[in-house]
Parts: sequence; C-alpha cells; structure tokens
Amino acid sequence: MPSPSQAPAPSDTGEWIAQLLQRLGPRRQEILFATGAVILLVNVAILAWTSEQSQSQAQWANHSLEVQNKLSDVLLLLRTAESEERAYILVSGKTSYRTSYLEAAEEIPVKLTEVRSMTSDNPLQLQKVQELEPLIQAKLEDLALKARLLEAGDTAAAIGLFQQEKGRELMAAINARVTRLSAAEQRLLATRSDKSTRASRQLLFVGMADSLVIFVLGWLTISFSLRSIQSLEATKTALEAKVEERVAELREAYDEMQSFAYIVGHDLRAPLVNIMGFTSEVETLWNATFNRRQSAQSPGGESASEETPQAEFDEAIGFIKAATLKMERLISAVLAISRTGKRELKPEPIDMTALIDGVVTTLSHETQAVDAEIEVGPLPPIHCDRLALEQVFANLLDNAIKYLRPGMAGRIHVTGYTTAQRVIYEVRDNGRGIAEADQRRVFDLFRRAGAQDQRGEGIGLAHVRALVRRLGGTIKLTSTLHAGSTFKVMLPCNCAEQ
Amino acid sequence: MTAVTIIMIEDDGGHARLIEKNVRAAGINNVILGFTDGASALQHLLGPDGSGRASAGLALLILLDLNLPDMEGVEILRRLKQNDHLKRTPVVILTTTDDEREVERCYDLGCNVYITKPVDYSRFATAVRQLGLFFSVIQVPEAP
Repeated sequence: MPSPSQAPAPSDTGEWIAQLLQRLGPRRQEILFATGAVILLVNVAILAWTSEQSQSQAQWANHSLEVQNKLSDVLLLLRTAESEERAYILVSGKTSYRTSYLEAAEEIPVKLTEVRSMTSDNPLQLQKVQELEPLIQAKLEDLALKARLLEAGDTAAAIGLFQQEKGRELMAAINARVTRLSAAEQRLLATRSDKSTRASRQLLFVGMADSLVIFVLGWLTISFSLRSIQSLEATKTALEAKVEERVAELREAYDEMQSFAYIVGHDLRAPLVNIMGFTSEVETLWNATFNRRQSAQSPGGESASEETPQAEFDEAIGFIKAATLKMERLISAVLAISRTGKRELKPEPIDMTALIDGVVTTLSHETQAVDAEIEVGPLPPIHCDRLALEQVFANLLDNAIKYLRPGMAGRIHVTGYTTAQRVIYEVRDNGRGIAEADQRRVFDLFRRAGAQDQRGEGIGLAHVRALVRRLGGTIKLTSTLHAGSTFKVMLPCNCAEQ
Repeated sequence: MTAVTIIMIEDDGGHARLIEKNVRAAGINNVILGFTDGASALQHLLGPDGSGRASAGLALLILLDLNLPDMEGVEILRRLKQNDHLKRTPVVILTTTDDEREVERCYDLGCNVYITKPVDYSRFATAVRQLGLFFSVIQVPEAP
C-alpha cells in the first residue's frame, strides 16, 4: 500500500499525452500539424530518393550483364574469324569461308568500341579494355597477314605462320584478359544487385516507418481533440452548475428579503393600531374631563387661563396622530413594494398607445388643474404585464404633472421605439427637472428631491424602479434642473417572469 | 338577545382592549373570553379531549387574529372549521394583515368575515361596532 505522501504515478497513457500536450502550449494543434507535415515531406523525399537509388542500381546491374555479353561477343567473333580462316586454308579456294572471316573480322572493332564506351564510367575496367585493344589489334593483324598470303596463293607461308604459334599465344592472352574483365564485371554485378536489393528493402522500411509515424501523429491529434472536447464539456457543465447555484442563491436571498419586508410591515403596523387607538381614547377622555371641569367652574364665564392647556393638548395629540398616520403610509409603501415582487406577472400582448391613453384619461382631472398637456406618440406594442405597466406609467406621468415649473405650461411627451431586443418608452417633460446630485436618490425609497411643495412619501419612483426591474427592464433618468426630465423605460420585448 | 359568548383570540393586549371598548360602545354586553395564544384558545374550544364536544350547543362568536405568537391564526381557523361541533360557529378574522392571498385563504377555509384593523381609529371603531350586526343573525345550535 502506498504511503499517503506518495503521489500516484501518472501511469495512464491519457495522462501522459495530456502532460505532453500541456507542455506544447496553447498552439499545440498547429505544432502537431506542422510536425506531421514536415515528417511527411521528409518521408516523401526519402522515398523518392530510395526508389531512384533502387532503380539506378538495377540499371547498373543490367549494364554489367551487357558488358559481359559484349566481351563474349568479341571473343566469339575472334574465334569465328580464326576458324573461318583455317577452314579457308583447308578447303582452299572456297571463298564463302573468306567472306565469313572478313565479316567476323570487321565486326570485332565495332563490338570493341561498344565495350569501351560502356566501360567509360569505370576507369579500372576502361584501362583493362585499353590493354586488351592492342592484343586484339595484333591478333587481327596476324589474321589479316595470313589472309593476304592466302590471297596471293602462298598457302605454305600462311601455314608456316600458323606453325609459329604467334596467333595461339595472342589468343590465349586475349582470353585471359577478357576472362578477367568479365570477372570484374561479375563482381560489379554482384555489388550492384546487392545494392538494389538493399534499396528495395529500404523502400519498404521507409514506407512502414512513414505509416507508423503518421499513425502516431493521427492518434495524438485525435486524442487531443477528444480531450479538448471532453474538457470543454466538463467546463461547460461546471459553469452551468455554478450559474444555477448562484441563481438559486439569489432567488433565496430575494425571497428572504420579500418575506422580511412583508413580516416587518405587518408587525410594525400592529403597535400603530394601539398608538392611534389609545391616543384617540386619551383625547376623548381629556375632552370629557376638560368640558366637565369647564362647565363646573364657570358656566358661561371666560376661561382664558384654561384655553392654553387645551390648545397645547390638541397640538400634541395632533402631532402624535399625524406621525402615526405617516408611519402607517410608509409601512404601506414597504408592503406595496414587497407585494410588487410577490404578485405573479401575467404577460400578454399590449397595445401601448391604448394603455397610455387610458392612463392619461385617469389623470385628466389633475392635468386640467395645472393646465398641462400630454402628447402620446405612436408607441410600439409589447408583450408584458398590463397592471405593472399601468402602475409604472401612471407614476411617471403623475410625477410629470406634479413637478411642473411654475409659470410654465406643462408639455409632456410619451414616445417609444424598438431596438433589436428591447422596447424603449420615454416620458419627457419640460418641468422643473432634477439636480444631477439628486438623480440617483430619487429612485430610493422615501427619498425626494427639489422643493417639497407636493404631497408624497418618496415612494412612487422606488416603486417604478422595483416594477421595471421585476419586468426584466431598466429605467434611466436624464434631467437638467429648471429645464425638464426624461425617464427612459427599457423593457425586453417579452417580459416573462425574470 | 341570547347568551352569545364572544371568544376573542388576540395576543396584543392593547388591541384586545380597544376591541372590547368598541364592542361595549356598540351596546353589546355579552361575555367576552380573551385568549392571548392559539393553544389555550383551542384547548378551551375543543376541550381537553380535543373533540370539540365541550363547545357543543354553545352560542359563540369567535374573533380571531392571524398573527399569534405560537401558531398561525389560519391553522386555528382550519381546525375550527374541520370540527363537527364548531364548524357552524361564526368566525370573524380581525387582523392587521391585508394581503389579498391571505384574505382569500381565510374565506376558502370558511371564515365568515375578514376585517382589517385600520390604523385610523375612527374606521377601526366603526369596523368593530359593526360586529353588533352579527348578533342578529347568529343561530344558536341545538343541543345534541
């Protein structure tokens, strides 16, 4: 059993390949491909060279055989010439023998020239041929001399020359040299055919090595591709799992926040019922006591000294009640926003022009009161939740009507257009505008900006932003103080549950 | 008026007192039995054996708050409406919760009226005083 400190050896072939590929760096595919190409090219070159080699060796072997043949021919012709000449002596006067002799004698130099030219590549052989040439020349001259004597009818002299044995000696010398030459060619033939065989075998080996190398490279490439695909798959799966996990976490946090806002809203409201209730009870009680005392003390008399505590009491009760009611409104706002997140969206195709016209109609009373005009341009349709959109634009238009510039007729424009994935609606006014420093905080809950001359808790825009986010969109504000504001609502073409 | 007993299940003492004041102000002098948690209220209504026979034949009006410390008011409502002896006893939900789904759930479970406690005291008073109207329609169940 291996001790825990011992790392398991990467015995796996796949592991080894992975490490190798890892070391090759990010351009491993190109490197593998280039290596393959280079090896292939070298192999093709070797193949061509080897094949060429083998062919030329075979040619050379053939050449040796031809030289041998020519040499044999020379010998044969010499013998033929000699024997024909002898026959001419024996059967004197028969000219056919003479003709045969002459033919053979004339053929010899031709063959000899051929042999010389064929051995011109090999200096050693050439030298031997050149040594052979004078011997053959002498032999031919000897034969020619005898022929001339026979021609002249001096048969006895010719026979006498035969008896001198000079021709015989020459023939033996020629024979010996030709045999040596032939033997040398035989040796050449042996080495050449041997080389040719070796070249053929080389060809086979190179071909086999080629196939092996290409196979290995192919295997590397394929296994690399497979590994790449596998690792991509694994990465993708891991990423997907991570995203899912994050989404689940976010959803959980969101749900927790929702229920938190909801519970807090309710639990904060219960004490308010008490505060309000008992304040009212105290008020009733005080009034009863005060009235009784007043009527008991001085019925019909003036009671200046008693008026002050009554007024102060009323003031105090008034503050308590106002504060309690405000608290109640704030809690309601928190609840309303928390409900925005809880309500199930019901996306449907919506004619936005009609929807905004409807909102404008419900606001007509307010619009007329401040002498404002709302212009609704043709708006692109959308697939979205009707109630949410109504709330968003009712809030935006209500704000636009509320925060006009004093002494300036209100002009409010609602326009819209479509981009690739989004539908964008704009509510533009010529009102008092929002200072740049306040442009972010107007969307925060319970935060307001500018002159506080209108009723409100700072809920509207926070609610709008919550709604738009819920629909999967965003809202942007561009505004110049004392010039007007533009609220840009960007929504997905299909705002299904996000 | 018959001896209808009002069972008030309300954990907030202040609320209980305000409800009682307004019930009395409406001229209802019936006995009010207050419980501040769900368990003791159920113990009383269903009896020690949990069968509900203890309440059989009694004329009751139950005022129920939904936010109780020990259990959900909805759970109490469900158990009352499942009980053979109590299922016809009128239950008035009187609570701060005004969530639509919660209201629907209570009506589904068989509550008779759902009243949200308004913070505005005059509305609160009106709502509680209108409970008086119930007494004219409460039927006293026949004794078994």
